[in-house]
Amino acid sequence: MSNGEPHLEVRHLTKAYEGSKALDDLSFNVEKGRILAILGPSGCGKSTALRVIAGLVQQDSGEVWLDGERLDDVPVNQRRIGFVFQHYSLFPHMSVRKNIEFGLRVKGTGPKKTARRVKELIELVGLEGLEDRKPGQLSGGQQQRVALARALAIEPRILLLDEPFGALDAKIRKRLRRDLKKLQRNLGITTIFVTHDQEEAFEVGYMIAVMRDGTIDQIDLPRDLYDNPKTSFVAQFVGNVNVICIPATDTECEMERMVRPEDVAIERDEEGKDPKALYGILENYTFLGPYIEVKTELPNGETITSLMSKAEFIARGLRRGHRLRVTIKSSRTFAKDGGEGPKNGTNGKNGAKA
Amino acid sequence: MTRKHKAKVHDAGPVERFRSIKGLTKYSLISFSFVLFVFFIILPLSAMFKFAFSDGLGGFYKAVSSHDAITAFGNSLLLAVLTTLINLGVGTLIGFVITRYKFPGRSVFKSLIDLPIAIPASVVGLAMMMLYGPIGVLGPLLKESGVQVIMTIPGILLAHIFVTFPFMVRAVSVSVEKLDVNQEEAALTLGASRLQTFWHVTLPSIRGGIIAGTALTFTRSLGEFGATLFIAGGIIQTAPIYIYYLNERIDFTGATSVAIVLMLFPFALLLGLNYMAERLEKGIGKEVAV
Repeated sequence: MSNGEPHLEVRHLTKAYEGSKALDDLSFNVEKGRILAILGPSGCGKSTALRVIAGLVQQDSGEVWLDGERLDDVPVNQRRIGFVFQHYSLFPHMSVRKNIEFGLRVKGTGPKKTARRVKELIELVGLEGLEDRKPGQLSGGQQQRVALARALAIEPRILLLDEPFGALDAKIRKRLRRDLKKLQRNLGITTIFVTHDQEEAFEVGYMIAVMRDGTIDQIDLPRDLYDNPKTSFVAQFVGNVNVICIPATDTECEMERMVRPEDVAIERDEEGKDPKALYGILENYTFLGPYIEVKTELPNGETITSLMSKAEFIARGLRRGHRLRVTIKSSRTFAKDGGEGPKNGTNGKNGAKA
Repeated sequence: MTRKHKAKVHDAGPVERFRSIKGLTKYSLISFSFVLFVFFIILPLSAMFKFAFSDGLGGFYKAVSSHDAITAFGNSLLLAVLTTLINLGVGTLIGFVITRYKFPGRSVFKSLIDLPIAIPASVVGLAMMMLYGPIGVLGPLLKESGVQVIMTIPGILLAHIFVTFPFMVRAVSVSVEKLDVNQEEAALTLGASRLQTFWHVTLPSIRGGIIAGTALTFTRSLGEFGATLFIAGGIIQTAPIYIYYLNERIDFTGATSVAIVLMLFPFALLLGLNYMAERLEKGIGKEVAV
């Protein structure tokens, strides 16, 4: 990841809408040919960030650089940046073919070249035979494929996708994610993919940026994001997490740490009286396919969640009300608001806002 | 299997009866609607035919081809076409502006757009007189510069624009409201200029509203009587005023004949608009490069 040089650079972007900050000193880079997933709750500014990069929205301050060229004074229709909208936004009165060739025709590309290019794109997104349909005659998934082909037709320098699969049902969404990822890899096009869906970000993104309140909390490889979240927001947004006191006894809490459910081990122990150990009562368990999620009530009234395989759960014969010994792999815990994380200031600000 | 079948047959009774009641209600309501329509709309209109053709086709033809009749039709058509063309530009612009842009006073502007609908036509005529008439506010100024508004076609045109103003604005603003802004943004990201975007993406989407506004404006202008009467001042004949004049002269054949021809104009317009809509549908997207 260190060998690629930044293709897109976003520097200190800010943008306010009627007093509320949509972007708050947002900076990040995307390497050439890579796909960055921007993950965040709705209203965190992730769509605004894309729109600023595309030139659809003017930032209040900050810079956008692409290929070493500053884009801020380049009008949207000269940036050559592909944009895919959540609700497809195809031209309803034009056929699939007309939609895809729109960007070529407004630039005066000759009919032969246009036809060849459209044919390639139709094959690329798998829409053969639907060239003459109108968008209204296509399913949502097909429409989004047309939108993708339309954006790719202009050979964009970078591709921006704003929650592109958000309006589709789960099955089609998964299929399209895989196809997108494959296509992106084959074309080697630098891509930013915005989503609020954690699973989607992990599947599509080479790098993931977790965003909230107009700025990025952490940008990392998916695995680093999961294992070493820099803020509790990232920890909670990316996967599940327990917040526990260390040492977790029923006395005063000295230090709060966070731990993933899969790093909390439980075993049945009705008699154990080790003063250093943590005991609890099995309160509830939930069947999650291959895994069982177990909730254990601790002496201080709090609940800790752990995850174990179905086979393990059955082998141990665990039932509601069993007394359990809870072991937390201390090497797998992380500080609640990462002392080493750079975002302590931001968190304080957020607290004040809320 | 058999039991199920039996049960089904047993159940069919009430369901069938319910359906037939529902069917009965439906058909009586349809017939009633039809009767109402005939009574209120068709009956008065068809009464005219008795008089128009009382002297046979010859009488009808003579009435509608007289010099005065032709002049009246010509004036009416000219006014309707000009009113529509001007409204097409002005109404589309204002309809677009009040829907798309936010500015102080927008909501007041929006609610005032409908004002002309609420104002009686005779009041519009009177207001025009009080502005442009010989003793009107602008009267002396107009006289000095040698411009006459009252009793001229441009004067009547101003009144027709006033009266039909809301139709185009409303029709356009409704369709602009429904427009997906992202479509225009998509066009821009694809490299289209603002003009190309408007022409190839925005315009086709609000076409329905523009056609509806055109139809309303044209027919309303064609039939305008109250305001026209004031400004025409007995000098200029439009078809509705000519009908009124013939009726006053107890020329019922003439009045009804002209009226029937006047009714045909909107039909011709609708046919024309449909044809144009089809042409546009085929044309748009074909020659994308401006």
